Amino acid sequence: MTENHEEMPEGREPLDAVTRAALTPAAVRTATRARLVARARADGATRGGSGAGPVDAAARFGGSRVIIGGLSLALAASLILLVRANGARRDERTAYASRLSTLTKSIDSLGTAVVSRDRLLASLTGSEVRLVRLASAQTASPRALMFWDQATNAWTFIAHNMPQLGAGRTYQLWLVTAKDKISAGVFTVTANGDAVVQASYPLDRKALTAVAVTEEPAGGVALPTGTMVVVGAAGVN
Amino acid sequence: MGSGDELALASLYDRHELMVRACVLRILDRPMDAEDVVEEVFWQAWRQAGRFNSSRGTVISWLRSIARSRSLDRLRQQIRKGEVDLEDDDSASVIAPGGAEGALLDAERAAIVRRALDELPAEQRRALELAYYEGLSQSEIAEKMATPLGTVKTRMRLAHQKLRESLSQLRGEAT
Repeated sequence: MTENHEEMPEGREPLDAVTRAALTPAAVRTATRARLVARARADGATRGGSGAGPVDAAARFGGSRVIIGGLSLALAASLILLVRANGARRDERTAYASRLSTLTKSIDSLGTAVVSRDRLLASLTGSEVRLVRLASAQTASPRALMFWDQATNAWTFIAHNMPQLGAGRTYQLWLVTAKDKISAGVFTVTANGDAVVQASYPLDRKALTAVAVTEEPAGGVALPTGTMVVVGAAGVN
Repeated sequence: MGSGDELALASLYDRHELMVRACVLRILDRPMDAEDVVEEVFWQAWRQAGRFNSSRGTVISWLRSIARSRSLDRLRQQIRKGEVDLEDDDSASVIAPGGAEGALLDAERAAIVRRALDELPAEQRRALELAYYEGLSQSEIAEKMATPLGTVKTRMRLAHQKLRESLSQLRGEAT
């Protein structure tokens, strides 16, 4: 108990970091754990690949210790059960554990949904979000908005009334600068002609001149070749 | 974890959270800052799971390395914002913790401390949490727990006494 970085208030004695760490309330630790799991779940959905990670290694590293610890715990638990022979309490505990597990899963699931929505909201409402309106270049009336969060380089494109495409065709989203036409991805639309596209691309704040959507062959193209469906000039924010 | 299993991350957190938290708290004083950094440490571990090489060190040393690095980043940030004064001797000392303290930093000892805290009566532990985690004064704790000030003082004194005993036992084992 030697780690004292400040004069302690009355009644408070200096504690080392391990003890201060251990004093973190369980609710705080659990909340951090839940946030991590939710972030990982959201992140995992967008990640591919496989391979051994540190947890696998950790399992190897701590394997023997876990086995010894597990055997000790099992022995202790057996003794307690023999002495107390309290089956009812055990059943109750199992029921609570099951309920806790269910609730934890539910919390994790809700956390994932919240993270996803927070991300969408942030990309629409950030203080540095720039908005580009796209209007129709055809007789139909598709319309679209592009939200560009310049702080995070997140692009969120929302379109309505987009015409249905024929087989082998796709829509392709373009960020237009004075020098380039940069593909921000291909997309299809719902039966109602709606679409939401999210992309991440760093771009100089002054470089964007327009946002456009063209109709292209399935899979997209390196440079726009097809009919322009909607386009919007990027005004100064 | 490298294969995207979030439960593996939860398992890693359960196993090493206390060790990581202690490492962070050696560098950062404020528990709220430490909380953010602890989360970021495990998040970085999740994101960089593929880079972990067990032949170059243990998971514990890998996590400690991340924790130290992220904590120092946060400390530099605080210094830039003027929240921490580098001229302060105490602040300087936390940047380079001593070897003896470093030796104490391992998951097993941390677990023993937590067990000692778990053995405290709930009201004593709560009083300590309010004092050290939320930074409340004894009067504020008394108000929050709807308990006479004298009772709070007694609880904290008894809790400290118990902790001292547990920690001196730890030191005895360490030598």
